[in-house]
Amino acid sequence: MLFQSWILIIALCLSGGPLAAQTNLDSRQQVDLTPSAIRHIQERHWPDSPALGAGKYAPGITVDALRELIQQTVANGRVRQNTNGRPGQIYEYDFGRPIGTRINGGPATRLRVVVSPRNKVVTAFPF
Amino acid sequence: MHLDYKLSENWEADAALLDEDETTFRYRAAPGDILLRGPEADFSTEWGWVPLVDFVLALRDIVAKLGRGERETNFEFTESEATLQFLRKGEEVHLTASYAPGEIKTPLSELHDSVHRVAGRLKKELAAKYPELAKHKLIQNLE
Repeated sequence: MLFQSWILIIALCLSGGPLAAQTNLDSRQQVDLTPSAIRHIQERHWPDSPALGAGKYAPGITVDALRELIQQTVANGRVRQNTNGRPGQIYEYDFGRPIGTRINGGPATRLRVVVSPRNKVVTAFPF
Repeated sequence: MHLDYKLSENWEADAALLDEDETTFRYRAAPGDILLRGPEADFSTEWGWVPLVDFVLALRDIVAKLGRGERETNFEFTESEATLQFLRKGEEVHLTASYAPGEIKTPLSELHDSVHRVAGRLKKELAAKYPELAKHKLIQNLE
């Protein structure tokens, strides 16, 4: 019995185990959406924003819904290093349904979230 | 090839930007438009939000990579899926854009000189219009 328990513990350690997976998920989930970041996103990507050449959220979006979209993207999306020498990371997630419009006017099903090394959301937009 | 920029006239520099981290500063500081055209293509933007300090820093990085022998690299705009693609062919660089048709061909040396000239102009303009903001290390390092 003792031998079997040790085998189980070693197997969990080698596979990363549920504890390791949870720790990784937790670190992904801790991003900070500041009032300044919300204003930045609203100015460029809200349905009534006049900014051209930027993806827009679907009409009816709220700050709470934005938080939820960001949360899901950071928890479940593909992650890559930011590009062009910019510090931080980019998370992208395909919701499989329209969440807004792309810059060409077509439906956007994906969200891109840019996160700084301090885990602050810098921007988030549909594409 | 013509490379230049146009700083947004509506932007008011917020002193709080100086306390932000580098990523946030790059995404927020000095928005405007890029002017980028050749005989057969125009990749200029009319969006008003392209962060120009970030654009110049990124282009400087791209030129350095191409100079070191990288064959292909991209510029990703900060607030959309739009990209500029840079493909090195010998001593020339061929530019294409995801948001506009055509191609711009330019010698790598000319692209290098244009980027550094624009960097110098941007630094001077920001120093004149926003002296406090221009003390930021990213703007100081533009040249």
